[in-house]
Amino acid sequence: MTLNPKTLFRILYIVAGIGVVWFGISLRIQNSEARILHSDEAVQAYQLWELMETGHYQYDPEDKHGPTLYYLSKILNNAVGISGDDLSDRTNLRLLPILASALLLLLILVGNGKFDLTFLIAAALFAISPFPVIYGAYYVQEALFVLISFVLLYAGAWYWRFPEVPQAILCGLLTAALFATKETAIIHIAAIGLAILAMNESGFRLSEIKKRLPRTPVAACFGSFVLGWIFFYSSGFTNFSQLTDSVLAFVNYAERSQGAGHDKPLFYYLSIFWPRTAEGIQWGEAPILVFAFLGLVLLAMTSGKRSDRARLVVYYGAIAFALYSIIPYKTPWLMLASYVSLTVAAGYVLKTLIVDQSNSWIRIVAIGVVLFTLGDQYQSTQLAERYAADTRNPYLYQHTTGQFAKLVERIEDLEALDPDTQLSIAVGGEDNAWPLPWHLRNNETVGYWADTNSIPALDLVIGPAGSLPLSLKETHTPEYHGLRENVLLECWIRKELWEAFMQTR
Amino acid sequence: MTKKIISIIAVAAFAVSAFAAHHGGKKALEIEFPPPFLIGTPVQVNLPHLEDPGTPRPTIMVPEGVSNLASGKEVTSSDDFPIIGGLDYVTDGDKESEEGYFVELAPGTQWIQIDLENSATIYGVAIWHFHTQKRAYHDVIVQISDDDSFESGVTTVFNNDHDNSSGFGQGTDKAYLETNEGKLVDAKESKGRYVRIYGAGNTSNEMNHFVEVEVFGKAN
Repeated sequence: MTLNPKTLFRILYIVAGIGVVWFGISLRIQNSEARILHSDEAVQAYQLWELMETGHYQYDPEDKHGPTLYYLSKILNNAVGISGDDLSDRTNLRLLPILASALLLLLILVGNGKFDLTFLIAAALFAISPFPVIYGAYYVQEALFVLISFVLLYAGAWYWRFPEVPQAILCGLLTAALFATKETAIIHIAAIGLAILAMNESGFRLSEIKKRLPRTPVAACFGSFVLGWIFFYSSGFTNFSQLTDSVLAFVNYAERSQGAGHDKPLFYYLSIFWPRTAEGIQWGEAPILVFAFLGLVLLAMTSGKRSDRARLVVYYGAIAFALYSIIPYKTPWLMLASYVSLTVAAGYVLKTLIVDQSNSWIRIVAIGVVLFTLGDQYQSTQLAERYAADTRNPYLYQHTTGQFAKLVERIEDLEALDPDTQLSIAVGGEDNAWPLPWHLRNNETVGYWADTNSIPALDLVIGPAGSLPLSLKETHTPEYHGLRENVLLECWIRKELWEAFMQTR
Repeated sequence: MTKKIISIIAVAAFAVSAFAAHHGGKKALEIEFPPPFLIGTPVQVNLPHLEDPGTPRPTIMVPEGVSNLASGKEVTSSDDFPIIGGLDYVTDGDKESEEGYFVELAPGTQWIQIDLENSATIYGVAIWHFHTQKRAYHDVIVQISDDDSFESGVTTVFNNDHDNSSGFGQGTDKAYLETNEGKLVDAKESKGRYVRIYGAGNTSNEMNHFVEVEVFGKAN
């Protein structure tokens, strides 16, 4: 039996696709094992742990984000048998983002509805590149959020072609899920809308827009959106007090977009991927940046139904990139959706070189370029794993230093001296030295003092270096531990405790 | 009056000769420093167990003929394949801390070892870790021995491992912040052919870095 080339290609596509997803998952798990928790991850983890242990969840419009991450994590953890205690394992904790990232990989592979080399190359790049590997295993909302946003993008494009009630309901529910995951949904809704309009020659014409928005589907979309919103923010119709907060949150997030201590220059996002050397380590993704730029130009200049899905994805990511770049508040993980588009744009150029060229030498060179680019990205991912929590890792932002693990270990060693008694611990400082509260969550004799001058001399006193009372010198022995770049913590240990500990060394 | 002047000169000459006799004709060890170069925002550090950043270097008196015996000598390490830089950087005479001047060893407790080629009397060891950022390196331990495996005849001349986490005993020396002046350790005329320096990461990251090590001594 001989296979025709088309069937052979399909079989190879499926096999390669499975390999890509499998490899992507294993890289994310490896990176997760190597990387200590960021303070933001610890804050989210604490919410999940409380929900799993007590069943209680309270939306906080001042800081945290919507409820989907916690509830979906709880459902997933219950399904696979992960308890609240098991969350100390980093990969257990990060299981939902890893799963969302794997589903995103699948969506890239099958999103075009056909076997398209553009999307296979894009999925391979997304599976092995350092940025999506890190943020595909990061316990914040982003991986889940980006997955929902791409489903919404495809659903939105579907609705544009067939503006009917079922498509409208799907869009409404997905929009509600997107908002209930993260308030930055408003930026993505705008980017998705603009991308869909940009796909069509007459897309920006008012008459065309009106034609696509008949009254009944619009009402169905709005109704399903409101229903979804109420469902998510009322914790499944059980706590309606959070609905007002969910609307008020937008006032806080509008203020926060001005920077709130995280303001960065216009080209910050580009600088993350731009080649650079940091204390002897070479970083950067020059090949993929070049191909992505060429891909964007090529897709914008050409037309044709075969490349419509690639164009849609690239437009969405490019618009989101532009919007995020002009907002002063910037954190690297906000680039995850745009990174999908980056890989699709690069994949489109590479596919064009391989498939659309009749010269076999060009094809061979193009295949070599694909392999080189994949190898280069993989090497960067290995580097990002070696420097998993290092300040020189350009993909990280205010990450907890690996040295922080020593403080946690020290506390555990001191507690092990007398397992029957919990240590009394005082933590000082306005930010509570996160992620420390996550590691101390099972200790019932921990207190937090924003004013370090009034902090009591308990068994352990921990706070920002230089801020704790020097009177501790009389009764305690000091140590220092790194928290994150330019932030050191003092840890004062009661002298008797320290001496008992040293007896064990 | 003349008698008075002669008496003063005699007393002064006696004092100088007595001082010289006491130090065996020694002079204070002098070290050359690279220019200071700090990048990033300096961190305010006020830690009681850290050596005061203004603490003067120890004055080490050395006899004539003492030189940097480590210059150009072979360096070995617990990390045979450093990912950044080469072990030869440690004794190449370049003390600048920018890229291309330091070797980075793996995380955890690691060491470098310099073979002086002959047993020597060592007066001082000067160490430069990465110093373009304000940071302190953990568990700095300096040992001297004639045994290249450091299993016997080991003299520890510096140890700031306050909790014995590296397993060489609790150190009583203070932690210190890196500057362009490095750290000068008084080796107290210890004798040995090999100098080994340990470290266990730093306050900024888990890696171990060495820019330069100078070993001041005289071959036996």
